[in-house]
Amino acid sequence: MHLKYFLKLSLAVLIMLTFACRKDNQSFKYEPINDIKITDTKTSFTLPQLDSLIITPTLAETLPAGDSFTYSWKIDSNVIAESKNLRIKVTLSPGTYSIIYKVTSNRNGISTLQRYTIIVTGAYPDGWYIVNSKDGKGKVSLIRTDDVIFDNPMEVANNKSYPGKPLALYNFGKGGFFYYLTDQNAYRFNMNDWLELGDKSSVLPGLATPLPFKTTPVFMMNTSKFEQFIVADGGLYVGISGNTSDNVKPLSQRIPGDYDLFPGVFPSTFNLTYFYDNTTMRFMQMEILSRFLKYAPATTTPSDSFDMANVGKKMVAYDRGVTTLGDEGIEWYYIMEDSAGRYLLSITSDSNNSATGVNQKMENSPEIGSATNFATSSILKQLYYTVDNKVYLYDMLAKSARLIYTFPGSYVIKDIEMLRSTSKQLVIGVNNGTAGEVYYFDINGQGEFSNNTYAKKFTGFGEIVQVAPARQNL
Amino acid sequence: MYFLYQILNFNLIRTMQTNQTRIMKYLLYVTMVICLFSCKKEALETYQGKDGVSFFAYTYEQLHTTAVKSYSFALQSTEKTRDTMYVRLRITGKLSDRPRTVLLKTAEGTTATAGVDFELKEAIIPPGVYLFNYPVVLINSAGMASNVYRIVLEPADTKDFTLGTFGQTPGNNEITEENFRYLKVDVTSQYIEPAYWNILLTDFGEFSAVKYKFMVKILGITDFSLEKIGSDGLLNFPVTLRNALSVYEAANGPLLDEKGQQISFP
Repeated sequence: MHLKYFLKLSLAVLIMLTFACRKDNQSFKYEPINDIKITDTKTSFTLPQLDSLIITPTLAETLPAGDSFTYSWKIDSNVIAESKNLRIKVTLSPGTYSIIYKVTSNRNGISTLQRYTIIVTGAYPDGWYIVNSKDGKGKVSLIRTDDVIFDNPMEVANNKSYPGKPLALYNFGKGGFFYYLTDQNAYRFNMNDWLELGDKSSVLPGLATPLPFKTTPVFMMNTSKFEQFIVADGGLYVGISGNTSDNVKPLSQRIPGDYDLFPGVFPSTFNLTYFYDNTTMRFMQMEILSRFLKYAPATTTPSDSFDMANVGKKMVAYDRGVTTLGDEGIEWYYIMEDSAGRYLLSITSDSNNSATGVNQKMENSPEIGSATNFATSSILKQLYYTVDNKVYLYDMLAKSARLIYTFPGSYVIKDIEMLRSTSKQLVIGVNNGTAGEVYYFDINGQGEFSNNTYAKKFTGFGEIVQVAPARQNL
Repeated sequence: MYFLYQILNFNLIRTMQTNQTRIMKYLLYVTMVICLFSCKKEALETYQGKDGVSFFAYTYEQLHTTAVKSYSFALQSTEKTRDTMYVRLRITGKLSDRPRTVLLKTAEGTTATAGVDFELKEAIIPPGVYLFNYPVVLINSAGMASNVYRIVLEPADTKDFTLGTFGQTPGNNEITEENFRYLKVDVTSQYIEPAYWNILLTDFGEFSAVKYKFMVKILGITDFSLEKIGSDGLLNFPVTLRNALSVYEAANGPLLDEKGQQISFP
């Protein structure tokens, strides 16, 4: 009996074994499908933050009749749109993004993908900040590199008013932020979208002497971008900085000590930053991660052009000379003054060492004793200085200056800045009464203004306080 | 003729079938036997025995070796008669879906008095938890004003737990973790140097009770550990303190600590 079942079972297994593997007769039936291709040639888009991104893909179909599609646009795994064309306002932070566009046939579920690269730059990425005031209220205007003028992006971006008389604005591209200091407050803004990141309560908390600063403060990061300094009213304030706005920490109270710093910060080596004490007329220094301001040691070897510990002159102005974007090499020029006249001194540094450079009396230089604004070239041994409405070019090798441009008699030059990346454009902010104007001058190979006139002119500002470069942060 | 052919053919087929069936039968036997015994579910070895409990710390904290947890009633933001210090425990063994009881006891080396300087009570570990903060109640006793008492803690047997297993295990981000048996706690109401002060030493200088009180008064906080003050506090607070100290000294002369040394930062 069992054997019978067993045989039947065996037979079943045998049949299964026999038929389990059959040779495939390879007779497939092919049915043509609608083959979709995205034929866009432009797959990379660069646009400023807050602008509209519009992509209208071109679809090529082999059998268009009767097919319909589902669309999706994704950044990472987030769907940002489900329409055939993309039309969005870009709110992404500056950076590079991939957008994946997916077209899926509703007839057979087959998908086609296309990757688009989106480079988002800051809304206000580069150009010149024009700090100016109208009717006693300060504002910062921006002349973007494409010459578009934003009258008051700070208030537009934050939808609030920033009262007070403007004192100064400082940014440093690598930090991704800038400070705007008024006679009432100190603000930190994201330099890409101008959103406010904090005010005096977070920037300068717990000050022993409350704001406002009485005189124009200066701000600068050290060479390694790890620390930030503000010099204001002769005092030094130090804080930890970083590569993005997120790692910026509050500044300290005034560094204690009996000193009266000239408003200038001079990053030197990676570990050292110089300052200048106009009381003792000698350089001071602070090491990285230290909060002690000390006198710089004497530089009295035969190769030194002056003694940093005994300069014996008051500092009047400063500007950068040769500099690299990586700040591996930095040259600082200083305008010094004593009873006999004005002098040009310099200190050069690389990541490890610093040394004194030039030390020359500025002779044969008309009105040099009254000059208020200075800008040095990073490619020629020249500097520009201004007196009232006149621009002079000083040649360090010839040790003499000449007049190269004169604005109309009612104009007063308020600030001049060299476009540091090329040293081939000088930007001048002038006031005609309370009306501010900005001029771009192209500089030729001899350091003079091309065609002896300006290349661009921008009007409509309030009374200009400062012109500051907006360094790109990407 | 055709009939004969049919019979012969039939017989031949039958003979063949009989032989085939026999072979298949044996094959089938073998196959079935193999099928029945080839895959056998392997029993998973699990931990057998009573679940354990031990102290838990990251190896770099050195709490299992040299480091001591310290607590001072003097270093708190407000005056307290009792406070709770939490010590981390880790369960070894199975997780439970019911609450379980854990208890610590004192071990050799303890100089504090139970009930006077501290209390150890049974605590309930919630279901499904393997890391637990055990509350050690510290009492601000009269003796602490002039003594630093030590409590050496050790897990005690309860109905749910015995001593756990000890040793190092690799943790997240390559930070080694440690299960250990004894934890030392120093408790006082004096101004004793907090364990974190070695990180502050360069920027704040040597610890002293007077300096600590001055810091609390000026900065308005009582915990100066790096986790609390941050790297900016580590660098900037001494600036604030130096400024405040010079104001104090201008009015009162040098600020001396309990050993008669002049306070400075640093």
